[in-house]
Amino acid sequence: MVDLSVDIAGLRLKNPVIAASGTYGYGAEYADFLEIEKLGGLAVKGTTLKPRQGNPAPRLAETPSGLLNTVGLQNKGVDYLIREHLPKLAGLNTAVIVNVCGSTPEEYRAVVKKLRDQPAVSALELNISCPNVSQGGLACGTDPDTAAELVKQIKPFCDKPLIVKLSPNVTDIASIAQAVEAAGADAVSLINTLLGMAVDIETQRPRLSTVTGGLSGAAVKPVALRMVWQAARAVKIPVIGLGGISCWQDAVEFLLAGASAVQIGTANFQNPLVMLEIIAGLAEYLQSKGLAKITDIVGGLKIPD
Amino acid sequence: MKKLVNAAVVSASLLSPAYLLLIVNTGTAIPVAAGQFASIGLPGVCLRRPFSIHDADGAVLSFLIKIVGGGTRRLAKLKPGDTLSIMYPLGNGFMLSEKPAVLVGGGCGLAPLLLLAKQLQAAGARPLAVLGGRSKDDIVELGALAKYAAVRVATEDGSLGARGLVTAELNDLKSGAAVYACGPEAMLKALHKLAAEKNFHLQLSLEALMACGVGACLGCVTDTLKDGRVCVCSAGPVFNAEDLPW
Ligand SMILES: Cc1cc2nc3c(=O)[nH]c(=O)nc-3n(C[C@H](O)[C@H](O)[C@H](O)COP(=O)(O)OP(=O)(O)OC[C@H]3O[C@@H](n4cnc5c(N)ncnc54)[C@H](O)[C@@H]3O)c2cc1C
Ligand SMILES: Cc1cc2nc3c(=O)[nH]c(=O)nc-3n(C[C@H](O)[C@H](O)[C@H](O)COP(=O)(O)O)c2cc1C
Ligand code: FES
Repeated sequence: MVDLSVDIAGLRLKNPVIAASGTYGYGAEYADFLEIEKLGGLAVKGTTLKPRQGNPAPRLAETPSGLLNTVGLQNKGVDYLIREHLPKLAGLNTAVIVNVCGSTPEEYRAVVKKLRDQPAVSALELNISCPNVSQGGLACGTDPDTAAELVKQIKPFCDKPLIVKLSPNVTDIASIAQAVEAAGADAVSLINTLLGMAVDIETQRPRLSTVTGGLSGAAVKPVALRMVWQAARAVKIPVIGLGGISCWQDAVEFLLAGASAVQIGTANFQNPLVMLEIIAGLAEYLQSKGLAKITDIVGGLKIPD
Repeated sequence: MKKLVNAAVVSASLLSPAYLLLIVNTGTAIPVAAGQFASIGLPGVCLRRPFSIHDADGAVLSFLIKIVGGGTRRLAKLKPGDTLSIMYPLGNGFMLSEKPAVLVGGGCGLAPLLLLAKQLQAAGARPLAVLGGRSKDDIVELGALAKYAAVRVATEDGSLGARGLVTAELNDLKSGAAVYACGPEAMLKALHKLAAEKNFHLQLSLEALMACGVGACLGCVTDTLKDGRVCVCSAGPVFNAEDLPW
């Protein structure tokens, strides 16, 4: 038996495969199809202080090998999460990561404070990068100074590993990763969605209600992989890689590039069992390479000189 | 309970150049309420495609599919014995009522009405089905439906049945009827207006672009009066007309 377990800044996962925020609901939605406890972890939908109704329809557009979305952080607020979802999530026997979002540093802080002492929550993922909200999100995720300032304000109130989720919509991912590391982030995850757009040429209208939205899925994988590699070289804290991972081979690429764990989003829509297939594939890959632990391949990319 | 199965294609036959009748065997019998749907995964297609369950008999499901794009074109090329990933039954179906039943469908909106007529008839009702479309090419599966319902047809060009819209066929409808409808949004909106005027109870099956089909991604929302933005896939696809702010 190979050892797939990983420890990300104190967040212990039985395997390095996590469901990405916003794509797997609260786990229960998929519980008819698989045992959720087989997953390394589950990142729940972006959670704000107050309920948000999100953006109007249409919110989705399929593009070649990808998906554009403009859901816009629809959620019922942190109190509802604590009351209705956390008791159920606690019983799932997998690491629960709450994705936290806000329009102002005060809102982020209020959400983080409410999640203190919640035993069902294993870690927080600070979403400083959602492209689908007009205020806050994008602005603070694209500037190293504001990103660092936000993390500094939140860190003292966070009693769990703090993962900061980075936006790919920046010119220099390494400097943002370094800035949030210096501000106290325990880990970073990347990438969130890439800003994109699609047009219906029959109606001559944008396909999304907000004109632009976030691109995910296989189409973004090479960009995501490049950014994970750049970030992993720039920081000492663990990196969680995501963006377009659709099979175990993709996951191996991210691990070799320096990710300590991976998240799977859009690929779940096509195949709700894909995460289980990735977990099995990782174990077989290790065996075929004669390796005992998944950590043996993290950052193992061999670059010929 | 929802299931994800690899189903075997029994047949994929074109009923007309634009309509496909796809029959699959899922290998497992799950009760289906008329109006529930399935999502079909196609290799190489990023998102699964949602389709109403047209008929369900034990492990055998059928789908009535209008060919509109890449995914549906690929479904039309399936051969008996091919396998397909099918997730079902998804969403909430129609609530069967004791009131006199009228089924209204346009184009592929007929899809969920066959199973509905069958279930209504089994419950002792004698439903009336009113089908509409642009021309006779949009009216398929008349024979199958006629087994369970009295059928009336209206086409916009008059090539089959009465000339005009389905809503005109409902003018003599008695108040207190239960109308079940599926079809293009313009038709559903017209029915919504008529339901208020004529005081009949109306249930509508809505469509939306979907990614997960199970309420996880929040991609498929519609606005409702009581609950705000809800997912068509998990709160619907069937809604009571009075809950929609149309
Ligand atoms: C709950 C539900 C039940 C449905 N039941 C049926 C059915 O029984 N029979 C049937 O023929 N169709 C049904 N549809 C619509 C069907 O899902 C789409 O026609 C199909 O996904 C198109 O796939 P495509 O790859 O061929 O087209 P694409 O190339 O993806 O698109 C072609 C055109 O179809 C439109 N379209 C794509 N997806 C949808 C969608 N989900 N809903 C509405 N329009 C869409 C696009 O906007 C575009 O104009 C249903 C949709 C939903 C949400
Ligand atoms: C429908 C949808 C909703 C999402 N919602 C969130 C969210 O609430 N918070 C967040 O940090 N990321 C959200 N994301 C981004 C994903 O978590 C992920 O970063 C991105 O999709 C790239 O990974 P993928 O290609 O594997 O999907 C969402 C993505 C999609 C497709
Ligand atoms: S399609 Fe994902 S929530 Fe409805």
